[in-house]
Amino acid sequence: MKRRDRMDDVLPAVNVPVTVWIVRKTDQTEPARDAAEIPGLLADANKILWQNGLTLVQSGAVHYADNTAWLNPSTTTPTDLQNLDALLDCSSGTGGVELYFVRVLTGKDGTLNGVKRDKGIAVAASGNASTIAHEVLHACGLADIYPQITILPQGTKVSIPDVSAPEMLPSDWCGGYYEPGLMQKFVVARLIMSPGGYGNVPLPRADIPSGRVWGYRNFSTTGDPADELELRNVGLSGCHQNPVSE
Amino acid sequence: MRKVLLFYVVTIALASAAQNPGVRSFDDEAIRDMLEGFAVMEADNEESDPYQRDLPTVADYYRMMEKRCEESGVDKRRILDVAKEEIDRCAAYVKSTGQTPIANNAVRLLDLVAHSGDRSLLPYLEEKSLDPETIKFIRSAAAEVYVNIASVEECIEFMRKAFGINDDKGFWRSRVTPLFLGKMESAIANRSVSDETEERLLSLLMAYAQITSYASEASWVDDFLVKHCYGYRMSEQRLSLWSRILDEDKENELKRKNYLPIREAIEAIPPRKRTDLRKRFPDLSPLPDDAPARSSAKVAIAVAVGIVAVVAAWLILRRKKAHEAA
Repeated sequence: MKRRDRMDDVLPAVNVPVTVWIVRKTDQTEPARDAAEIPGLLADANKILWQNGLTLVQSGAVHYADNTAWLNPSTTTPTDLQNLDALLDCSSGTGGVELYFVRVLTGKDGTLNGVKRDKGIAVAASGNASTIAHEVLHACGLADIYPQITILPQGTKVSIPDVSAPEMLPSDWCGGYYEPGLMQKFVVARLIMSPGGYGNVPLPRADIPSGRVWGYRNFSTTGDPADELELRNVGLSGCHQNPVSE
Repeated sequence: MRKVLLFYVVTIALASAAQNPGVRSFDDEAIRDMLEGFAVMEADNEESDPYQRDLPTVADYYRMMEKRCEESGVDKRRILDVAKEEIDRCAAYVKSTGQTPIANNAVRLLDLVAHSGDRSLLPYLEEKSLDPETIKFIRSAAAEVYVNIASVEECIEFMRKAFGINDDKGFWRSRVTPLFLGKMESAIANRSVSDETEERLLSLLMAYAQITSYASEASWVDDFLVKHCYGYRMSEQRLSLWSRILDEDKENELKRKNYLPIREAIEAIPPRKRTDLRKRFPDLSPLPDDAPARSSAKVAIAVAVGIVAVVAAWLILRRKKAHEAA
C-alpha cells in the first residue's frame, strides 16, 4: 500500500500492532528487558513515529522466548543468521511489527543496538526508543543516511562539506526556516535515519523529513567519498509500506 | 647553504604530498577520527541496504589502524590511549544523559582494542569492569576483553573481585563467567596450569558456590567443579548450594526440574558418607546445618565448670551425710 501519494496529503493515522517478545534463558530467568519498560519505550518511539502518522500499539501481553541461545544473537555468520531468524520466527503473519528484545546483538562489524530483518526487529538491551523508531522506519522502506564517512584504509573522516541548500533537501526547503549557514552534516545528524550522531556531539535524532535528503549512503568507503553522496530515501515520501514483519 | 637546505626540504615535502594526496599523518586527531568512525556506525539493515554488505570486520578495522601507525611511525599504543579517552567520554555521556545506545559506541571500541591483545590495557579494563558507576554494558564488555587478554592467574584474581559485584544479582557477568570458565577449561586441558593455580581456581569457585543465588552462573560453576574438583559431586557443599537456590525460588518449576534431582541424589547418601570439602579448602564458610562453632577455650571452660559442679555436689552430699551421722 502506498501511504503517501502527494507531499501535501494529510497522512492517515495508522495503528501498527506490535507483538513483543522478550528473550530469557532457557530456565526462564534473566529477561533481556524488564516487561515494565515496554509501554514507555513504545510511547517514546511513538513521539518520533507520529511524524509519519504511525502509532505502535502493543498487541496482547508480552511473550517470552525462553532459549539461552537466543539471548545474545549475532548476524556474523550464516549459522548465526539462521539462529537469529529462528528467534524472529517466534511469531509470523501478525500483520504488524514484531519486536524481539535481546541482550547483546553482534554484527560482523561490531555490536549493534538494533537490527531490522524481514522476519522482525531485534533490539539489544542498550537500544532505546530511538532505536525502535529507526528500525520500524527501515521496515517502512527508509534507508540510512550518514553525515560523515571514513575513508579506508587511511581512516580519514570527512563530513558532508556543504551548507544546506534547496537541492539538498528539495521537499523540505522552507525558504528561511533553516538558519543561514547551517551545514548539511548537522541537518543529517538530526535525522532519525542517521544511525550515529555527529562527531563529539551525539545529537538527539528524531526528525523525519518530507522527502529525500542529501547525504552519505555508507559510513566507510575505499573510494572517493564524493561517490557516496546522493539524495537518500529517508523521508515520508519514501515510506512506501506500513511496517510489517513476515 | 641554509637556504639551499630549506629549499631541498620544502621540495621533498611538496613532492611527497603530491605523490600521496590522500595520506595524512596518523596523529591523535586522525586516530580519534577513525575510532569515532568505527564507534558510531552500525550496519543494521543488511537485507535491504546493499551499502551495508561486505564491510570490514572489527579485526580488519583494527589491522588497518595498526598499519597506519606503522606507516606513520606512530606507536600503536596511541590507538589504545585515544580509544580509552573515547570510551571514557561515551561512559560519561551515558551517565549524564541516560542515552544507553551511546554505550554501544564504547562497547564497539572495547571490541576493537581487544584485537591488540595488549596487556597494558589490563589495569584500565579492570577499572572499567569493576566500577559500579559505569553502565553494565560497558562493564561487561570490558570484563570480556580482560578475560581474553589476561593470563590464567590474572583472570582468577580478577574474577575473585568480579564475583563480589552483585548489584544486579550478578547478571552483568552472564557473558564473562562462561568465557572465564571456558578459558580455564582450555588451560587445564592444555596442561598449562600448575597444581597450585588450579587449587586456587577451585578454591575461588568453591567459595563462590557457597554464597551465590544466581542460578545460571551457579550451574556453570557447578558443572566445572563436578568435572575438576574431586569429591565435589557428592559433597555437603554441593548439597548446600542447590538447597539454597531451590529454597530461595520455590515457585520456579524449571529450577526444580533441573536442580532438585541434584539435591535429591546427594540427600540419598547418608550424611557421614558425603564429602566435606572444608578439609581441602579450610576457608570455606560453615554449612547451614553445622552446630554453632565452639572454640576450644570455651569447651575447656565448660568442662572445668562441669567438674567443679560435680565436686561441689559431692562435697555437699558428703557434708550432709556426715551431719546426719553426727
